[in-house]
Amino acid sequence: MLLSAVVFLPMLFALIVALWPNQRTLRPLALGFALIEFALSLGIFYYFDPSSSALQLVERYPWIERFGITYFFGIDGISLWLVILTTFLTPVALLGAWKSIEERVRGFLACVFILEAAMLGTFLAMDAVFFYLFWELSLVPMYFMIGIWGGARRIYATVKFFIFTMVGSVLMLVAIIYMMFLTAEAFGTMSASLLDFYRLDIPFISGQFLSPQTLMFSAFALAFAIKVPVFPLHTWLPDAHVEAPTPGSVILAGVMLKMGTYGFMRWVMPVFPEATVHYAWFFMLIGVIGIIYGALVAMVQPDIKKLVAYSSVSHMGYILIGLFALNEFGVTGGLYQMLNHGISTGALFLLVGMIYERTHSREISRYGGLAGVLPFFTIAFFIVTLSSIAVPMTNGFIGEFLILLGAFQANSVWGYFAVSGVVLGAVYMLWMFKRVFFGPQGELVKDEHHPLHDLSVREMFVLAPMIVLVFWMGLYPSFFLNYSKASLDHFVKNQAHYELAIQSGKEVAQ
Amino acid sequence: MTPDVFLFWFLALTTVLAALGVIISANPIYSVLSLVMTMVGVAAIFVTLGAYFLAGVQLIVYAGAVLVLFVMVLMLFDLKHEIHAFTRGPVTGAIKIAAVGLLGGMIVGAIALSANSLMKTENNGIQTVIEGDSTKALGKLLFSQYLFGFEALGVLLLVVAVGAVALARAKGGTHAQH
Amino acid sequence: MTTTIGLGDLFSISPMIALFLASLIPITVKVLRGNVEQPPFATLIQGLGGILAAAILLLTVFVLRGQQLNPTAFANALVLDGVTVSVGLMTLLVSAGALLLMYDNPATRGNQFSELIFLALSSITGMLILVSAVDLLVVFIGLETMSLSLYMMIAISHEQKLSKEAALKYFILGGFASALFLYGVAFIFGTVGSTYLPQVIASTGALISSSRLFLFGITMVILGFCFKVSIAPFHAWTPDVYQGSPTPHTAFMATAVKAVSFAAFLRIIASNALVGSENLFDFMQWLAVITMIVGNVAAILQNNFKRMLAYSSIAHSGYLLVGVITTGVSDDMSFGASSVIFYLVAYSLMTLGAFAIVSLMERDENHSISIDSLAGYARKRPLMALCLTVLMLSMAGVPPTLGFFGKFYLFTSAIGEGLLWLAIWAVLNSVISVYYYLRPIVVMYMKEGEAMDAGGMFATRTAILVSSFFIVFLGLISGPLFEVIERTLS
Repeated sequence: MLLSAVVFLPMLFALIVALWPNQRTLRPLALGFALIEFALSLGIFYYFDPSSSALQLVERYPWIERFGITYFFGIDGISLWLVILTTFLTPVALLGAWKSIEERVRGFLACVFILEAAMLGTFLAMDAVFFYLFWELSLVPMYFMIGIWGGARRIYATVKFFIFTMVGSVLMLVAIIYMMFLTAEAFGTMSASLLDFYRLDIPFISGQFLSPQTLMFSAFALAFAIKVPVFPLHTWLPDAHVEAPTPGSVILAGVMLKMGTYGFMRWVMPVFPEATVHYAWFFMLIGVIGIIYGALVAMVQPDIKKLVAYSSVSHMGYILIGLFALNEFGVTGGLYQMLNHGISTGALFLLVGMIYERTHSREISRYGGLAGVLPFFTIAFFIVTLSSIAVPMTNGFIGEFLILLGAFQANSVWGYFAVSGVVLGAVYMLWMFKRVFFGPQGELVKDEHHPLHDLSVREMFVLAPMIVLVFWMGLYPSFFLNYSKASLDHFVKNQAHYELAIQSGKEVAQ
Repeated sequence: MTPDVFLFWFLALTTVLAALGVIISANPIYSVLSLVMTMVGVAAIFVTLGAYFLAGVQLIVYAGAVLVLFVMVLMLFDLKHEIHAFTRGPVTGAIKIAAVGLLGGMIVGAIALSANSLMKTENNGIQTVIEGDSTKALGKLLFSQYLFGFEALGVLLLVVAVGAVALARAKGGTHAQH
Repeated sequence: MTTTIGLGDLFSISPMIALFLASLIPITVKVLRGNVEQPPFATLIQGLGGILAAAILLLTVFVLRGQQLNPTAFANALVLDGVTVSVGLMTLLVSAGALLLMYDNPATRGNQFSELIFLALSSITGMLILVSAVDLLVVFIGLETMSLSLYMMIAISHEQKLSKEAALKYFILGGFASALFLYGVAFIFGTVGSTYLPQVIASTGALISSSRLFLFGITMVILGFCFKVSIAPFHAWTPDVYQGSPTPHTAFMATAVKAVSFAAFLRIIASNALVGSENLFDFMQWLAVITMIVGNVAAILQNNFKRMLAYSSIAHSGYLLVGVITTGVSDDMSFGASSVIFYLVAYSLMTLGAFAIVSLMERDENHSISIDSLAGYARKRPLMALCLTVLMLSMAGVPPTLGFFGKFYLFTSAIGEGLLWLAIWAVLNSVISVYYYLRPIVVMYMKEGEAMDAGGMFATRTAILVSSFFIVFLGLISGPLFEVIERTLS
């Protein structure tokens, strides 16, 4: 029951928020709801057994029996922290957006909650069609969030986002349907359950693109690759990120991009093992290209938000090569970096949002010398920058280090190229930091008519947990990784023939 | 060239040419008269097929009642205006002829291509439904096997009648004054 | 041969009789009142009452007689199987919705409302005949009754120019299509020896490869149907006629007419007929692909809302044709046929709702709605805007709406029969369609404007709310719904 509650409670919250009459108590109410949801998700830990690699807290009911589609939720070490990340970032984003969303607040909050429900659904769904439902559903609230409350080019950005993502998804749908028929052939009854997909033996002919496994691998991989996004399918990201309102950017970068990499981990690599191994080099290649390309383009951006957006492309490239290294270090690093990126980039977008609220400009050239005027802001920004660059003691270091280890282990060539990305990452971030915070005061900073105020109490409350996590995850990663260890070990060891069991005695219904 | 075949080709050609005349003529009265000719031609073909009742009905209802009604209504208009509106010059005339030619060519081509199978197709065990007096057989069929269709057509006629009256009384239309 | 016709047959056509009698009431009352129009509400109630009676009788007839092995009526003229009852009930439902729209819209409400309701109910009678017909001549009669009533309904609208043009275009081209259909029937009769559909289908396997005449005949029949359901390249009339007709009539045409035409199409084509001829099979696949592309691409370029919806309905015809082809090539027809009928249900509800919104916004009979004129509607009428959003998302196929499940079942049945490329084409077209379905949503929510609907119109608003509600609700229970449809068909 817990997983269903975790997924559907935000929908209920959305409905309440949409109809709530009192404007003043609206935002505290929404924040309260988000915190309740976070607390509820923490309750998963009570039932979660870290030593088991099986699927836990399973809820499984037949839904559309004719096609073997089930209402199927389950959690394991891989999805556990992603769920927590989602429920953690939502109240943070809401608190960060307290002032930035002024009009039609109800609609916005409702969108946030529906989005949260959809994202949680994608992380927890274990049935293909059920998963697809949540996957597509997540597009709609984000579409509205960018389109209604976004920046100047919001309509272009949001339509591009929607259609781009949907193209990949629909091809994935065709592949899902085809696989359902394969299960019918192999097991006698049609099933859309992921566990049955794992058990399928899809024929693979190496070297030939038209073999069933490669084709379906491509269909699934395309959908997730657009979401991650991998180069060269990333073009929707900068527009969407820049035009989205701050909370939208936080959730988009913090969680939604992880849906893509999660998809690779859960749906692509275990279901199509031979194709994964065969084409791993390709994904490593575009991952590396993404790292370097993202970093180089970020360097020349005049707009801070766009710089952060391209840094996302770069960081997601790391996660991709971590996953496709297909060894313990790489995969662990990939998963950890997913969480790190959520925290650090989420925080970056919050910080950019905070400065934008004050000056209504994101142009780096108009800043400078901010450190003297906003000391606390500078400290916070600096810590998050360090996390983004992957300096030791921060969470980013653990993730990137593991990924690089894994990459070197897989093929040292990738490792060399990926390491260059580390340097580039430091370059663009530190250069931006210098231009914005140090040096002579820019026109926006000097302006006496609009003096800048340092972090308010609310903003400190928003940033404090993020900073705490940066260090907690950086200094004590085992706390987090211990929960995922069993699942990750299982993932790496059984890559060739992955199967997931349902933890005995914990299944609610069949 | 037996008399039957000659008669068929003569009647068929007349009917088709008259039908073409309906759509090609600029003067509406000529169109209606061509239509009468078409109906008479069809009736004659019915006679050659032995469907006397249908031929009679065709002549009485179509050529006699419907087309007479058409002519009566047309008499009420100033046809010079209509003729002028319809003949718009050599280009439209050429297009009309080209369209008809294209359609005709397609039909002739289709028939020519199927000529083999047309010649070879035997009576695939189809019994002639009508032996002897066709009218009686037709009546029997209408009231037994095709009874539902027959009655449903009555509904259709009612619909057309009411609709036509409603349409005539409706305010609006391209020439109405408001 | 002797044919027995008894009370049982009369009982079988009681829905049609009920509709016919109900259609006579308004005009009789008008005559008795000395040609003074009765209050429109009374006319509406009479119309809705007729539809309700027909629906109840249809259900009763199916339950009582439909359980027999061969529930035919009137000497094999009509059949009362699953297709009849499911499509018939759905048609009656959306026709009731269209009637509500006719009641409110300024172009149709007026001093000829009684005649309009008469014609509308006659058209629905024709639809019931069409959907239960199992003899090709009766199919033709149903087709003509339905169409002729519709031509005249469009012609007596109060609007000045566009509706007359639309009526004339529809009449001429529709008449042409009916003539093609009849021509095909004649050829089929000539080669098979009967117009009774099961007999025709039984002979198809043998004749389709051996007799060119039969192939020609069946092609003509298919072409006639393709026109009626606007399959490219016979779709050219659809945008003009849909745009020119009064919106309630457009809703009527786009939903009920299309649904029953597809049902009749399904009955005739969906047998292993298509397997016999490779050419026919390829031909129909190409038609489906072209229809989807033409519909979707042209819709992107439209600014007039009604015209965009017209092209979108052409695209949906393409998807439905995929379903029909799937049924044609499958051994077990009930799965393919169920997916087609399920999609028809979804499509009818969505389209009715969408056109209802257009009808809501028309202030008078000459007011044409462009997409940009929706700007800012979300602020003025948030509930209606939300309904339109749900309808547009459903048409685009976004989960968890009914439209998504309709497409899902359709694609599943197509892939199940090995029509993989067709499914991929359809899916890609779905994505193209997202672009123009999103536009009204964008304009309503994200652009500034003063869009406002013509207030009141509660009947129309009810129709919109009901259809939107069903889109979401039925989407969640789509599994049981599909199973119900499948069970009635087998």
